[in-house]
Amino acid sequence: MNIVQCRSILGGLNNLHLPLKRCLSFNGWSKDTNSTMTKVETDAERIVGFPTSFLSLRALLSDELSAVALHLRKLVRTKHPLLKTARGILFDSKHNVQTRGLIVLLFAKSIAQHKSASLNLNEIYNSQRTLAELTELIHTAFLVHRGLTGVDTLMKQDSNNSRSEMELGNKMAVLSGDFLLANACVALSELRNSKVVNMMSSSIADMSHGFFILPESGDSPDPTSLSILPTSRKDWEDAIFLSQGSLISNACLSAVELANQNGEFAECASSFGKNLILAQQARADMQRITCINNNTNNNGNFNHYSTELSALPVVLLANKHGGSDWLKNFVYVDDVTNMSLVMKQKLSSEVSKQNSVLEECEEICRHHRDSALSALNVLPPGEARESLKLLTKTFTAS
Amino acid sequence: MQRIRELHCTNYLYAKDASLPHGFDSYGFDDMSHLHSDIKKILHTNVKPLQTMCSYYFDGNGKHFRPKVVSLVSKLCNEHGGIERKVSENQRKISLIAEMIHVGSLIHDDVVDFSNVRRGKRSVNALCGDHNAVMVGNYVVANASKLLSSIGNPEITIIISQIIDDIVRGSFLQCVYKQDNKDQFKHYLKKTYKKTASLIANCCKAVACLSSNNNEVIEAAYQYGSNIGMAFQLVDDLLDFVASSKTLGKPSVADLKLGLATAPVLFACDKHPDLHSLILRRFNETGDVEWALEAVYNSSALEETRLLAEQYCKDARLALSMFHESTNKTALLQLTDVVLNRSK
Repeated sequence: MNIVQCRSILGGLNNLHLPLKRCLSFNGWSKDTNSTMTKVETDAERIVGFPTSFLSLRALLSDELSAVALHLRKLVRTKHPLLKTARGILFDSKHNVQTRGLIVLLFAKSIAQHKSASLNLNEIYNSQRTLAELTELIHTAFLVHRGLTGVDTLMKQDSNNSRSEMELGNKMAVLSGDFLLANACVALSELRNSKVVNMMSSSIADMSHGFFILPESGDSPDPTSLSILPTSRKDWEDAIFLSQGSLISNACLSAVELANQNGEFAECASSFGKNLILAQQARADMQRITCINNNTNNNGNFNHYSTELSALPVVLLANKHGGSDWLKNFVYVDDVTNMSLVMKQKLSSEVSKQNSVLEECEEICRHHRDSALSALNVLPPGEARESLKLLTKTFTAS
Repeated sequence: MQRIRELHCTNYLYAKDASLPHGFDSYGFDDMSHLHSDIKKILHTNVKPLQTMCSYYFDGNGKHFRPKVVSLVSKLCNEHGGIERKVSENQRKISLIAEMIHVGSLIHDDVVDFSNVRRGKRSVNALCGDHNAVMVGNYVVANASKLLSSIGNPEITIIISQIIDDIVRGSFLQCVYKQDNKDQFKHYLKKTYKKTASLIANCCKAVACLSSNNNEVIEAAYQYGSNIGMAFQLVDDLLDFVASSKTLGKPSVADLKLGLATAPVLFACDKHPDLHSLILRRFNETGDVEWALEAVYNSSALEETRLLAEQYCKDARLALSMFHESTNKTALLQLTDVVLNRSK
């Protein structure tokens, strides 16, 4: 896929309905789809000498997933969330999804430039390429598993949904996600490095763990589960680290491990991964909450995703107002479907009134961005390092 | 119908609970007592909903069939190699991993099959929703993988990772049917190996590798595990047709209701070729399940399934012929009978 095609597809996203866009912004990086980002990423790909869109191709082209595609065809006319996920993976592979693999490759390339690196100077070792691939596989697997919503919930959301079709969709979502994870697992074992197996398995456990603190989609916020949501900066950072930071952080650490760097860059790797994710999430959260007014969709006022309640500005406000009890003010029970929903509009206007909170978010974003950038300073200078810095700045720019 | 079912119970499963004094629990597996509490320690988390759900099946109940086989095979191989007979720390880790991968896959299976009952209680997905259940499964298997890495042996990691791949590919095989009748049986056996036997076989292989460099020993352990695993699943599929929901912890003919054609149905096809079209449409029309059930009872299908299971048990015993006589060997030999004659 060349840049022009890529851009036209990304441009087309603006016309798509809100849930799809939301799904894509969940993919991690902010929904900012301007050409700067595309340029930064293409340059980065040139440095690693490898188009990252090919990273998970091996798994995507397997017999198993083509069987899934066949079943998915039956679902095309339905509103099963797996379709949105699949669309996200295919259409957006250039932009959103493969970014994690790209970062791992850049990181690997950068440490390979170090004097003490073993023989293959300037080479991205095969093992590190495998690492990038399996990082993507894990990330994609979780996207697919998140596309799962209880059949009952789906039926409530839209009475046109047929039960058997929704059931088929869920079945496919579980199996394809498992398939991607199994592929990652085998690739991981073939690296023949137990430390790396430990780190990457930890990140899978962390992501599953994080899901229980930050329920991503579908499940309507149960008033009793509000107490699990983060209500302080520290809680928020911990939760984001589990659900997103752990993967990048452990992948970068693994890249160091595979380069036999004796832990020289280990601290830099985990600090960079963690802070990059926190900075970009802080940015994404600010945009998500303040932009709600601009996206006046037909049911833009309310949505069934509970994540707005864990967006950084909301978390900071909750902290000021006495914790999770305050969050209850923004949960509403729909009379028709009897599901609890988040009052996004009310949340958004509450946040907009509090300039100090947004300033605090800005400060948190800046703090993590600077920490990520200073972690990178430990790496040997070179275009890979500069590219990582540029990516960091682009992801966290307002 | 009820009468026919009872008849078959007594014919093919002469060893009901009462007549089977030596079940799985009769071998004095002292190292099994802490199995579930150890797993719970590994899975511990402060997030309450996850904590409740991930330790839900590790409640000390269940047959512990897999860890028991793994532990006996460990002792057998250790004894054979003349090293300390006791199960080593790493071998014990394999037992834990076997149970964790097994439970993780069960949790996902129940989501895929929309099953509400498991091991006589409500399934995880019934309690906390499909979405959460999938994450619980991922969490359990990821922790198994972490435990695996702590063994620090790349060969072992490769062997165990193969299991995860096999289980997932087995699930895919279950979704697809082959047209040809001969192929169908082959397909069924392949699915059964990947979904069930691979776990036992490769765990046996792993503990053998941890104990010995002798390829014959490793291969024998693998063959024993593979064959007893196949027999285990065949009997499971057989029990689906005869056991009441009380003894199996899940409703009878559950497989048929899910649209799955297992060995008894495939054997019944020989006598009732009409069954073929029912298999292809996954028993989804009214009366299909009853008709298939009737066809199974009106043929020698259950007998043939049992014979096939017996054959696998025989092969499992054969795999052990290279080992000297010992209490462990005797226990493993007897275990094949327990598998064959179990009623739950």
